Amino acid sequence: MDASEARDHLQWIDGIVRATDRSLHMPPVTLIAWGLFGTMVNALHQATASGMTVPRDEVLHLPMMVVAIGVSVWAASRGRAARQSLVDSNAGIVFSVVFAVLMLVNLAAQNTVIPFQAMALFWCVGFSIALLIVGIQASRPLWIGGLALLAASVTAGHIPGWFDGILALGWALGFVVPGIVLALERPDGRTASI
Amino acid sequence: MDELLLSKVRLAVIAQLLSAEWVTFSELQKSIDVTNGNLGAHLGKLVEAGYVKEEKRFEARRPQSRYRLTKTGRNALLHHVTALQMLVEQHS
Repeated sequence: MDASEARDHLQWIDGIVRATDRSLHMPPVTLIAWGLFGTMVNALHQATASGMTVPRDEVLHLPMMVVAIGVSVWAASRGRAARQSLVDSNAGIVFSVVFAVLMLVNLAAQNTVIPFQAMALFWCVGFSIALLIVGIQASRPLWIGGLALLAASVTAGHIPGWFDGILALGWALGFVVPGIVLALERPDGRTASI
Repeated sequence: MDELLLSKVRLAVIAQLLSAEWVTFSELQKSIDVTNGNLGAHLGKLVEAGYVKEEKRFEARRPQSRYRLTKTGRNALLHHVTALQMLVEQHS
């Protein structure tokens, strides 16, 4: 191999490596399931705050969470993606860690040192960070969703009468809408990189 | 210089796998735009050298092969790039 051939190879490698795979293959149905779960939980609390009679938290939350987990597992098991990018691995880690940490805090401290409303806000802020981290790397709908959820978290505190309703809206805009957009974008669940 | 990586197809396979956890055979074939037989032969050499790990599984009841870059493969690419850079520098 001579120098010009070596230069040609280097430029070629550089081209491939620069165009690194930043695609995300997260199943949209998982986003929609968790978005609906968050929306329902907060909407039910808003209904309670508005004086309506709704079943107690533990009657509804656990079954809804089981459904969301079931949908996630089902979606992951039927995944037909042709590749798993580094962004996919990163997204899995980010969402799992955020969920685990918040769940731990929720179980350990809610209603003892953390008031219910503060915990609801932590869930929103935590997942808005996750959406922003993953979205900025690989998916415009997700980072816009993250911004929407963050905006809802910031706004909710200023309108106490509609605190839970605004968080419910945040979950819908942050997860459900991006999930629908991604589902419509490509049938295999791939998202376009930015 | 790594003799195995002097082939553009093998180099393209390594570069494709560099940015992914794993990639299926059909996806590699689409990305690199080579025939099945050609890609299979090149992948065989990379697997034999330990640069790439092959995993066979069933996806929707159909057999599927997927490939991931090994540490050896990653190091080989780095050494190859360094060797290419040195060659270019020597002649400039």
